[in-house]
Amino acid sequence: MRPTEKIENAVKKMNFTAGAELREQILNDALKAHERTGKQPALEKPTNIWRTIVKSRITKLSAAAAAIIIIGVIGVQFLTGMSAYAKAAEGLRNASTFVFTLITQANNGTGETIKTDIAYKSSGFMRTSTIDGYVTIVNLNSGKFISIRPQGIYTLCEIDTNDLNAIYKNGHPILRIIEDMKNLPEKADEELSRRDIDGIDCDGYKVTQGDLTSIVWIDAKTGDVVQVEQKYAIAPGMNRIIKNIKFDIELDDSLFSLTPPAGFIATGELKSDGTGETEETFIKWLRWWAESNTDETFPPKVTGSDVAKICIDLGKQGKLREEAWGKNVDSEQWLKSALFVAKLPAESNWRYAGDGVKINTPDTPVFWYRPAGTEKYRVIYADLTVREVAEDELPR
Amino acid sequence: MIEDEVLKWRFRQGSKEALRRIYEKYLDYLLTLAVGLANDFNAAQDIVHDVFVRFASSRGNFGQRGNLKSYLTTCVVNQARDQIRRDAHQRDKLIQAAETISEAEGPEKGIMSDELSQRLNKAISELPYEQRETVVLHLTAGLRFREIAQLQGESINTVQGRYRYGLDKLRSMLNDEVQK
Repeated sequence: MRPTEKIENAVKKMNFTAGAELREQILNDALKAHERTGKQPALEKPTNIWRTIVKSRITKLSAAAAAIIIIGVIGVQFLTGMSAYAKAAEGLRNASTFVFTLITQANNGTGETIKTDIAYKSSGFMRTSTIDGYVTIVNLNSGKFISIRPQGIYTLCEIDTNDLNAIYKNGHPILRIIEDMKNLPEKADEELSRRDIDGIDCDGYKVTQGDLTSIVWIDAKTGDVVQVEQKYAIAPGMNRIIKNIKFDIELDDSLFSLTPPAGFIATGELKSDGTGETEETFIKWLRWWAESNTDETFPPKVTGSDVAKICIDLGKQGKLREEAWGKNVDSEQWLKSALFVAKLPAESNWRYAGDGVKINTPDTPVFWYRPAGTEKYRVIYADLTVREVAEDELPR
Repeated sequence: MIEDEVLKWRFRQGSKEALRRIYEKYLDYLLTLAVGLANDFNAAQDIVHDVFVRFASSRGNFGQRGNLKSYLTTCVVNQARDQIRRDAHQRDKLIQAAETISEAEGPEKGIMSDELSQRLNKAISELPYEQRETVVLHLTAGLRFREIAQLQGESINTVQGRYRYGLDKLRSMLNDEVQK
């Protein structure tokens, strides 16, 4: 290597890091500055429908007039008479856009928390991104997806429109989370004691919908929804926390563009023709996963764009067996396996409980669902056998 | 890069979490850049501090559409230039003071680095400012000569010349290191 190249490489690697005290000091000052700016009310509050209307110059005056009339007709008493929870539930119910951070726990012994940022427009656009740059953008109207990886590569994907309709109708896993928030009942079952969440005093409300228990944390001062915790009684692996919630805000179309970033390299296209999205493909994929990793465990989750990331991370940690990698399941089968789960209707009550479970562990169910038109559930066990069981025999 | 789009958008919406994430993501990079430009640990701390505080205050009118990293890089460059202009007459004193402070501080305080980075930075600090800025922006920030030319308001040939001269000087100063 030439001397100048050596110097260039050394300067490139030059690294200075902030010590703990400096790190904290700058952050605190920045947060204080952020907070001071936030005292301008229009910036602090999430955009709501009124703000959207008022943004139009043409409607500005008429909207102002309408607001006065409506407030006059409804009366202030009605507004203040509504509980904070009821107002929040109503806001969520009527929202057409959502942005939130989804936190799921990988109970695979690592205690790892997976954070995914979600942006969603009810007109059929969804974007998920992880902190380290794995992004999936879905156009639910056309069936086209783009998966972008931080290594500078991307994959375009298209699925059959019948599949798309099925997923859309039955509830994509993330759409289901949104639906669960939108369907919060008008009244909470129980009020919980006040708790500090991320420095905000919050009032908690517990709501039960079937086997799902939601705890909604609401800012005691502003009435904003701060956090929603969703817990499933019979599948703790699916528990999740939803934070940084904003709804009914304007979302820039550029967030949902299927155009790959400049300079990124395509890694081929994936298409599914609507065939092969079966339980058999799903079981094959589960086997491939469990036999590919050195722990011989099933994946922490079976849906979501971060499943691929988890797999890549296992590879980085040296936990993937080379001989299994690329064998048995190709990316198209992976897609079909994911579609099998995504297409299961809500009534199927599918649950996944395989996180951290070793393949061939005796009598341990990892996935179950009720096929359409049947009474019994199909339960996939850790040895990847399938049995049909009645609802009251399901794992608790 | 893609994540930055979401962070920028959330930051504009007032998210404290987004500010935190931007901070965690870019603090050390910006600090390395600032140390390289200012060749003074205290000044580098001030530069990065001011850039983040101003950035945090700008959220209401933060309409920047381009690359977040480039934006923050430009902020640090501008802030470094201001700082250096202001402190030009005290430069030598500050270097001495900063070195004394950095030696006295424990690992949990101030700025930390390995020995090689410190030696390299000492050599970089000997370069005239224009050459130093060009070398640091090209090698630490990864900017192309065309981008540096825009930032410096110079022709690409001038920038390439500054880089060449700067690198030659570094080579002669770091002759022993290079031989290793």
